[in-house]
Amino acid sequence: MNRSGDNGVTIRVKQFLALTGLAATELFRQPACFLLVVCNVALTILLPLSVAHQLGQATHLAVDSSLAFELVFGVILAGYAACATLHNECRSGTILIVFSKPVSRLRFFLAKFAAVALVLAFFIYCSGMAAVLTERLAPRNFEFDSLGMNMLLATPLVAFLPAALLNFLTRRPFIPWALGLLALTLTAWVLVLGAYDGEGHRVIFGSTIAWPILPAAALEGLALMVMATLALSLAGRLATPATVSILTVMLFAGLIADHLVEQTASLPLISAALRLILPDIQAFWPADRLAAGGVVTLPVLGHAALYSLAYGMGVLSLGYAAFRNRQF
Amino acid sequence: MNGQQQDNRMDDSKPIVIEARGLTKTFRDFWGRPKVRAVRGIDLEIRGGEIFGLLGPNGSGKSTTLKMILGLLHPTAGHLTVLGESPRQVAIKSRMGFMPEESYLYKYLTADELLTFYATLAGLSRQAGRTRVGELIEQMGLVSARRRPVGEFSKGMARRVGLAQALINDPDLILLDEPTSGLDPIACREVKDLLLSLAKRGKTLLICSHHLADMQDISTRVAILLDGEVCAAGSVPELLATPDTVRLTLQSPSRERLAAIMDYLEQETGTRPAMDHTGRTLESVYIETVTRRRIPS
Repeated sequence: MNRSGDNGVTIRVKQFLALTGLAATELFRQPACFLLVVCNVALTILLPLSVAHQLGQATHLAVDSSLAFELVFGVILAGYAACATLHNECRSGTILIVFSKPVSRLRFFLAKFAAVALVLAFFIYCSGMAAVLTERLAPRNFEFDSLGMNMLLATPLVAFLPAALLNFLTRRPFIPWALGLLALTLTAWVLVLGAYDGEGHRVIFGSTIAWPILPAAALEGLALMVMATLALSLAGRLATPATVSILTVMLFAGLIADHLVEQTASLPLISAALRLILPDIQAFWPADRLAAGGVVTLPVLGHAALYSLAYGMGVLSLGYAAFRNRQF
Repeated sequence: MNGQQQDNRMDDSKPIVIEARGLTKTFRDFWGRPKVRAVRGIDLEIRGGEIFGLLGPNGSGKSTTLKMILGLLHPTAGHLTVLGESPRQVAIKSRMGFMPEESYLYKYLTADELLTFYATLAGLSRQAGRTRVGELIEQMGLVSARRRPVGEFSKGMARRVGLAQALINDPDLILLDEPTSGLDPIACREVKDLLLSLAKRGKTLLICSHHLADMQDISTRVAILLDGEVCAAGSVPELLATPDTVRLTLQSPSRERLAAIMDYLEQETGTRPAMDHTGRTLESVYIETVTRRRIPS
């Protein structure tokens, strides 16, 4: 019986979009998601102020550190977001009403993944912008770009004050507006600072910006998407602490996956199992490539995207198999 | 099990909407060992247009049975069909509505947004959804609160939103877990009237409740569960009847005439009949008083 007049495919697409939209909206209202995004951006853009980075390799250290922050905060965010959207929905009971409607479990599960991926994409964008800014403002010849640094330090005021005012005057939720304004502010700073050099002179737009950082951040973003598939698959059964703990172990095991596979070369079965199970995080780590003056090319990104797609689909299939038979 | 007793009162011309035979649910521990046997081989047959009450104390297996009918829990043993299909078929959900015991709602959405979301999940088009949401908001008395987040609602208002979402797709089968819990007596009466009108339109209702008076008012048949088994089942008048006893109700007879009737009945039956005054229910007094106060004219 179809009482809507829409055909089956349209209904399924609308259901998927409604579930994704609601889950993403819910995640963008979570204080923990807000704190993770803001902490990552704040630590990244404050890197140039760190004394440790004034030893002649400031830009290199700033880029390496910002990419490391993106990976660590991103993994925690993936774990938290997956649990907030899936595990908490099961625990709070709202899932009972959703499954009393004609919604398949696969559609629900994939919509939850889409929502987590949206939040991570936002995080990766902010992180990439912050990394570009920190490289641009890292001290060169032991001199700070004080104008740029002041602009960055004003970010909380520019991004969060309007959101707070909106909340006070119109009761609009603070967190989604603050996050949206943060992304806009970071973009604006990149556009403004891209037109000036460290001494405040007009230059050709973008000539002072290290654009290769953006594809590098995107490459790491693919690693985070892989971790998101793991997180969601675990979140169908486990709560946040257990999920984040397992993700952390997988991240570090993934970083040394090559070494572990080499060490077990004499045991082909174990070696093959490790190669299959552990995500090859090294394939997504761009810092070495950037340090050597290289760039993350399109073929490299394409290869990583294919790997993350294959690995992610495998993990999501296992996660769905576990979720499909879950009883509420 | 009183299956025979039930069958006597069922309207066999109506289609079977829910059929359970030997329905059993055993919850297991981490190692797969049986932990709790929540439902033990119950038989149910509910036909179209019935209001069927599932009664029983806490932990008697009512909610577990409801969840199995919804396909949220899978039976360990037995046979269960809902609207002629397995409850695990997603497609049949478009003909079902469910209101859980607790108001599990997305608290930051307004009543409008929430019902629109469920209308989309139920497969209604944008226009049909908007119309249906408007109707239900009005029917549930939520017009003035439709743009407020449901997290700010009182328990009774949240229950009304919960009932509205269960009816969003105008379902043929409606499963309600404690539908009148948290409602004031007037809202409770309105909900009961609504449920009766739904049954008149041919909808089938399965209701779990502790409010026995409410169930007595609206149910056509009930089953009483205890420790996962059906202890008693049948139509409400049948269950309430005291064998070999009848009650006569007289309209304001005079004292002398009443004494004469009593004497006559005593002579005829050999025992002095019991006499009491038929009183109104507290519910009817409450509704009358509050309504009169609210509408002085």
